[in-house]
Amino acid sequence: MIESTERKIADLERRLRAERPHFRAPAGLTERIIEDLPRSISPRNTPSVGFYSLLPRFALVAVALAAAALLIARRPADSTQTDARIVPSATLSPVEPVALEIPNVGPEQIESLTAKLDEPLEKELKNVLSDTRNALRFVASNFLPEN
Amino acid sequence: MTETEEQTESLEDLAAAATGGCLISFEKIVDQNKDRLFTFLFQITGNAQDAEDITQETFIKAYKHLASFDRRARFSTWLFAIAKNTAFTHLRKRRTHESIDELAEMLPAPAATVDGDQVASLWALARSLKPKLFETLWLFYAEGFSLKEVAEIMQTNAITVRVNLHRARAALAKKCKFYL
Repeated sequence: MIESTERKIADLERRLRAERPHFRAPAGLTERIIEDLPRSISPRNTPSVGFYSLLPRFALVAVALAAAALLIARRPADSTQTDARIVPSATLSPVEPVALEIPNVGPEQIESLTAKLDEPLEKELKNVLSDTRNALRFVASNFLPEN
Repeated sequence: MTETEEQTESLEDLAAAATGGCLISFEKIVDQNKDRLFTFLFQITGNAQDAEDITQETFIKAYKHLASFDRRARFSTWLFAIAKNTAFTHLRKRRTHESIDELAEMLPAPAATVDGDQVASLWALARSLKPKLFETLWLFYAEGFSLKEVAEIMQTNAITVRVNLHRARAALAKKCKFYL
């Protein structure tokens, strides 16, 4: 009896699966659904990127622009130098690369150069000292008593 | 992409692409599921026009909430859950003069045919069952969802689904004895 009940249930299940009704949705339903979707444009053939997925990229670009603006603002203004990049020019000629030849300067040349630079200073110091001595002699000879 | 490659694209993959904004992917989702949803909703409402309206509303809701679909469950499970809730809301709006308890007990009379297609007699009998039992029977046998998936769609647990299935089969078997 249990077997017959199980058999009946199995038969019922088989029939339920096999006799499932199939109905077709009305024609044009897909088009109506797509038309009614909430959006401002309908890019049917081109994929569109969601707004929230672009936010991180916009944030990075904004940070980069802010950093660039800060760097430009902090650059010190030097009136003695002329900078072709700052001064706007109506016409900019293309800059050609120039090969610079840097002379090889040895240590002896550097010493001789510094020695030459130091000489005027020593001379000045000697002059100041001799002037001071002369001044003292002058004062002593003219204002101090002979005794 | 060849036809075979298109068919191997899963609903979950299409949903992921549609979440990114690909309308073509969502259109494929609609094409692959509209007949199935329409059939289910026609069984619940007993009316082709209502079934069509609810099918349309279901897909639009699914599109709006695509971002909330997590891939822990199958996409079809999620879609059917939306369809069932939408159908209940739709029927409740149409019959505002009846209490919710009465609504739960009622099921519209089955239509004999839809566009010339004859409704299977066993399922026609099943539609005379209580709505909860019929829906459980349909989701499990006609749609092939697992006990856990049926529980998710019906917003209950697997044990309740198993009990309802048992009751539905018993009630249907009794009717079959008399009518078939």
